[in-house]
Amino acid sequence: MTLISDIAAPRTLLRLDTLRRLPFALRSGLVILTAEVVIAVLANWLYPGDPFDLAGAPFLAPGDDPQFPLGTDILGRDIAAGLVHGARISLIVGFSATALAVTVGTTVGLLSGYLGGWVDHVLMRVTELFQVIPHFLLAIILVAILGARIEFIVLAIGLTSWSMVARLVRAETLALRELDYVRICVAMGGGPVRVMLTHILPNVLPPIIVAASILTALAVLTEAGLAFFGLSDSNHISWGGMIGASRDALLTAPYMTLIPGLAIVVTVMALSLIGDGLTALLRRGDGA
Amino acid sequence: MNAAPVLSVRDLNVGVRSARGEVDAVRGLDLDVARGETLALVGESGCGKSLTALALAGLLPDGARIRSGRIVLGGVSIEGLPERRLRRLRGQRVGMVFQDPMAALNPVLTIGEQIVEAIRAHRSVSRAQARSDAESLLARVRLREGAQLLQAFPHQLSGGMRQRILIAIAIANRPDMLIADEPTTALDATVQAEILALLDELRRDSGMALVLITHDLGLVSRWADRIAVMYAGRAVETRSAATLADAAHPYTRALLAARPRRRPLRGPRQRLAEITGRVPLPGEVISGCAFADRCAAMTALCRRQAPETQRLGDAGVSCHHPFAPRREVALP
Amino acid sequence: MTLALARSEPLLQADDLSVTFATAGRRVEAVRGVSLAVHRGEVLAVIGESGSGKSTLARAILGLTPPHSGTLRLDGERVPLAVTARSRVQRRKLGMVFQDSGAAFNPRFSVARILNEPIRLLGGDAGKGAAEELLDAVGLSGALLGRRPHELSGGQRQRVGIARALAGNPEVLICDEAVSALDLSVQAQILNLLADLLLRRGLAILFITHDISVVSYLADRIAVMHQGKIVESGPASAVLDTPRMAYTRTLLASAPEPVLRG
Repeated sequence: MTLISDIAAPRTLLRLDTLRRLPFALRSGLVILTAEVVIAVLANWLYPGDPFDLAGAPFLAPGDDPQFPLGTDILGRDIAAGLVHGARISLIVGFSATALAVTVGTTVGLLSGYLGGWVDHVLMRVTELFQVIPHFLLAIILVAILGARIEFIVLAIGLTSWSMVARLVRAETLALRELDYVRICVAMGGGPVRVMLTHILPNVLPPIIVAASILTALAVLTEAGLAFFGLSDSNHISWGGMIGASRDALLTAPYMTLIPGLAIVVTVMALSLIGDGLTALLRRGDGA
Repeated sequence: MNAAPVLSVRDLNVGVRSARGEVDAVRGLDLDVARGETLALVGESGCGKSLTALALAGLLPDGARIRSGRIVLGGVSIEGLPERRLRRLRGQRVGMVFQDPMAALNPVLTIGEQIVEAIRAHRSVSRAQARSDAESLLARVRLREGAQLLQAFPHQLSGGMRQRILIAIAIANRPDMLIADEPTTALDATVQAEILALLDELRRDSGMALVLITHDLGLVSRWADRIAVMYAGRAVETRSAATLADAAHPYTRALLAARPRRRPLRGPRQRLAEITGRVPLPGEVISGCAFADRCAAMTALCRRQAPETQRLGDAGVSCHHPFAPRREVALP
Repeated sequence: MTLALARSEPLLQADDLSVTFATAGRRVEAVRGVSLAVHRGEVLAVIGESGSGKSTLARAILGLTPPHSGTLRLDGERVPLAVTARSRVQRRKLGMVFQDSGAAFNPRFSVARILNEPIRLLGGDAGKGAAEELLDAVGLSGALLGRRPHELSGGQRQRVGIARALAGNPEVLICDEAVSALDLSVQAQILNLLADLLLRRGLAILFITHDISVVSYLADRIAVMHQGKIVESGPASAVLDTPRMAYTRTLLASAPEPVLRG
């Protein structure tokens, strides 16, 4: 069906004038995520001061006191302030861990898929090793050994999630390196670095971006999980930590766990929507 | 033979969604297919021949739809038929074969499961009955050891065998009309000839009509009774395949002249006749004749007014200045 | 004149070329002991069905299939089999045109970038209108330099493909199904262009195809490939009119229509 592909919309990812034509899932995901990022950036202005401070009476339910619209926790900390400041940690850890995983995974996948041979063998065995170890367990062990600081949490989550990217990029690379334009570049003398950077990497970016949105969602969940077990940076409040700290009050004051839990759900959902939307967009761009 | 046509299409318009809104990729197409005849729908890429086939088979992809026009299938107008009846009508009367048999078969189901599914989709027969029907279908498409083949998966077969399986599925419900969209383009030359011979044999045995969609003018004179040449979404010339060499439309003539011919034994290769310019894009505003820009016989009239279809002998030609070879003047 | 040319050293000469693939523990001999020679101003057509090894042969000559044996000479000089071992001067001698498909060009590249890449790789000066000159050589306007492949028509795309092949000013052009996916009207343009280039630039063309009618127009000599071997070869008229092998006869008979006389 050359006819339809010829006249299909050109493949543009994120330009403002095309925003209105984006798939609904992508649009709604982006709106939610952008709102969260804005809130996280403005956290110090919205709720100045330390969110760990005891702000009022403990066990205030949402609506009990207009000063604490979302109530207070067991120790009397403002839940709204925790939520806003916690968004920072969730997003910083989510994005940084994903950036790390994508960088490592893409490099490994490109080298493995394009060079093949023993390089492929060695890199894929390492990748499989990281795939078969239960990810959450590995993250717990790494943070426990290295210490509960933001950079180590990022490192632990990144190290447990790059293998998926590596396999994805390798599979795409294997297909792309057989294409005529890659062959012609090689036959004209194009070396591996040039071919990988100019012909392969730009053309594997779309599936990588989709994978990155899913990975970010997983990273947010993992960070919350670690924090729930107390493996979070004690200098920064985190949604998972808020849930963990309130678990004794689960039955008496469920809002303390429900509210940060809901924040996690919304964030993960927004990222999943973005992933789904991007998939739909890329399929449409292919004009199939 | 020339009784009520199996298929009659009048003023068919197929719209395709594009960046510039909905555009007509098939424009005012008229077509008749008689029982037992082979009609070749010929044209270059983008002329709308595949969309026409898909529209007739009710398989238009997302974003494409029939905008207007009248399609009469076996005497029944499909206009305003409810979706379920329409699907049943097409399932019973129209079979479809595609270019890429691998893409049209499900890789995880056996050949047997896929043929049985096709049979039971439109006829209420027992599984056992469908299975024995499937075996005789394989025999009809000249595949031996049918019982064994039914257990096989698509990837275990050659391209030619897969295309035979697709043909078996397409004729499972004894359609009145089989539409074959570039059925041999993906196949080797030796296999191509076998598949075309098979389609021809099935047509003769069953009396169904065959609509052969192709870009290959070479196939036409050997396998088709009639030919419809499409250009920019419209059938510009319809004639008997036997008189293809006397084609009257400048586009048909240009296509014939562009075919590579054998070089002379001595001396340089002669230049092939090119068709300058390009096909109008779907949605491009066409005033007058769509071929005018590329036509050697173009006049002011061609720019002004789209040509009506006129009859020249057995042919229908949409051109203001059709080519007339040696016009035999009948003297009183 | 033509006699003298015909007796000169072939521009491309392959001797006993073999390619073996190892897939899933099985060894597949895709090309088995193929020898061929193409002279200046000459088209050698290699015909055969899919799986005959003709495309692998093209890739072997380009040095893209490492595990092979045999010798390869360009303009009389022996060159390494793997492209990575060839010098820039050696790489310049071969140009290649593949089938017009979605895979022919990097979809993200503009025409300018498509042409400048090989110009730079082959040691040319990518500034100074070199890309525009290449477009001019294939009858395209420099206005297309900013376009992406999907914004070109099929005929324009294949011309850009030929322009890219000319980037190193090659002596030999390897064409693998170069006109197969094209519409008839476009195919005529491309065949005319190839015939022009053949004369104007004194190229040698190795033309790989399954299309007999194209071969009858373009080829000076024909080699028929079957199961990795050349089973018959000779002047075009001899192979077309008096084929010696039964396989060649089957192949010719299955052409959709008899070859048109010029």
